[in-house]
Amino acid sequence: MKNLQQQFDRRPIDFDRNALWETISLPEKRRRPWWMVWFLGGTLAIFAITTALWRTTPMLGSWPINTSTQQGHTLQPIVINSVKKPPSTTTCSVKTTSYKSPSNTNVILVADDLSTTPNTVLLTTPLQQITLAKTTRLHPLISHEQASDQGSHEARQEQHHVPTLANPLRLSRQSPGQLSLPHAQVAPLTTVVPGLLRLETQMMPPMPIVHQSTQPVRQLARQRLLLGGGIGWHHHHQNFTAKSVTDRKLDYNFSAVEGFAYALQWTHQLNGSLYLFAQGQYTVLQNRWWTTDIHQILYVPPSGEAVETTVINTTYELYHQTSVWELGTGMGYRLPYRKWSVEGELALAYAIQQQQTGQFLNDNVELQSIITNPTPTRWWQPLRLWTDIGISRVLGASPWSVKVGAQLQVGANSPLNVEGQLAPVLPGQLYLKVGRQLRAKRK
Amino acid sequence: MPRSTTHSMRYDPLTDEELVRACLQGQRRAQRALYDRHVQAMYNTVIRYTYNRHDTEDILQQAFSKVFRYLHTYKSTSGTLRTWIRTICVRATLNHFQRRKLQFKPLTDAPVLHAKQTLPLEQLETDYIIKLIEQLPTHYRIIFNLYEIEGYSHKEIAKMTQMNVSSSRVYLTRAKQMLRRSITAFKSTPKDASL
Repeated sequence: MKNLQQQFDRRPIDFDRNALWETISLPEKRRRPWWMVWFLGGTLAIFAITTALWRTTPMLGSWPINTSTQQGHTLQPIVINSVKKPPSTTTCSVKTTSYKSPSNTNVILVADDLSTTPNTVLLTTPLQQITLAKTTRLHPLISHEQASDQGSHEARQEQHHVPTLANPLRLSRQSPGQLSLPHAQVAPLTTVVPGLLRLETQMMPPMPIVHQSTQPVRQLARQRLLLGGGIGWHHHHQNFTAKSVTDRKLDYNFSAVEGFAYALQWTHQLNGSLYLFAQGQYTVLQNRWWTTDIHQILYVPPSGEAVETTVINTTYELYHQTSVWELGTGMGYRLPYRKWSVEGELALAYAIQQQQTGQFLNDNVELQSIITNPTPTRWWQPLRLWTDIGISRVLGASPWSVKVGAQLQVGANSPLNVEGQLAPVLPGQLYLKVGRQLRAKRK
Repeated sequence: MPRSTTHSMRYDPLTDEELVRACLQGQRRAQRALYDRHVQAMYNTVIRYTYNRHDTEDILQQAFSKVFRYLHTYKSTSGTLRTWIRTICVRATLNHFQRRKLQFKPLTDAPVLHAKQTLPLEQLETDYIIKLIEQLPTHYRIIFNLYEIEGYSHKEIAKMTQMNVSSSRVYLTRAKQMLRRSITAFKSTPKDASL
């Protein structure tokens, strides 16, 4: 009866087509501007957040300074004054003093690096033993070779003033002979800065990668060019312990770096769910530096129970910005699930570092700007291997579709050289993404 | 010729698939071109069920609104665009009858006779056939159109009309019997069928 149906279809009709057309609602005309507004709004929001929120030009006074003390069981009175709110100025003074009071009272002036008022710890009986139980430091992964030269020079100068601190540590364990003169020396925190800068130049830690790679099966295109942008953060957690001949112990924790990225990805669908992709991305990271020192002081009087006092100082913040171009290629696998698409990718990327800028406190506790052009010392240092798993969904219809999704990425780059020891870095990133399909060819 | 129709003529060389893509980009003229390309067939389809111009235009308004609303779900691999649009129009027509409280009573006890006998419809002119179908009661007309003209199976018809398969067969058999009698009568009378 197909012929009959075609006869019916060709039958001339007499009705007002235009009148009927005017009554038909066309939702597409309303939906398209909405998606465009959504996309543009999202892009602007990402730009605003990433540039304004992380525009951390020196805000030394705005960063909260956390100081807490934990006091163990004690037989002796311990007075701890913690004055930790720094002035909102970049000129900071450091007082680092340790002396023995005339009244046989040991006074430890714990340096408050941003405040002119020192913290005072009064111990009313002679110290017999001071034990550094733990020193924890948080600082960024990024270091500067050029700045390290300058920092090393300053560090050497610092060592003349604080002979007991040849290393970035603020506290050092005293030898038994030194313990006969009960005191504890606390170095200015600024010595940390040259210490940090002694780190060899390393490439950027893996950046948040934003890419658009999936479409529902019904919209699969063999060639696709996707533009994406997103915000991201990655948290580096690295416990790095080194023991030197002097039996000093260093514990490093490398922590969060925030940033944003823009990426351009070209995808070539192989067959089924497998695809190849090439990706270029530009990433900017801005991070603050802060240092947390945990001082655990164990005091054992001649007769009596031990007294353990913990002083935690979170001290200063610096500004640092770095940007990197990264070119990578890899393979991905897409698994459609209802209207969603789950994808896994594996890629190898080459990073091209851009000029790094930042500010730090020098030994004179003055704010100093640094501009470095990092160059890798080994050919493999810019390489980065990363894998990710993500879920995304296409909203709207091609070519006006908007892709939204979330992706968790784990990468590995060249290890950091921290004081002569290579430390592995395994960053993880979780980010949201939004993208547009610019060109599509249907199969 | 209306101005919008004139401007949509540049979309005439496009295939249905290209036209759909243009429509999805929100191009109003492409949407108008798609409408112009298929409205005649859809009008002729719907009016075979309703035989009422006002109802037909109401149904087409709803159907084409749905077409443009769900155009992004159209898959070219599953059939032609016209078939897809016709499905929407037929379903909109059935919904129209359901709103009119039209229900298909089960006719399982009735004998199914001569169900597979073909009618000599193709030997008749289109307008005569239209007139013949119009004379059928609404229930029979719907089942006849769905099965003989649109090509749905009894299982699909049963699902669409919410009755069982055997009832669909009975409705179709009776419709054919009525048409056969009408054809015989038409052959013996002057043909002046017009709609």
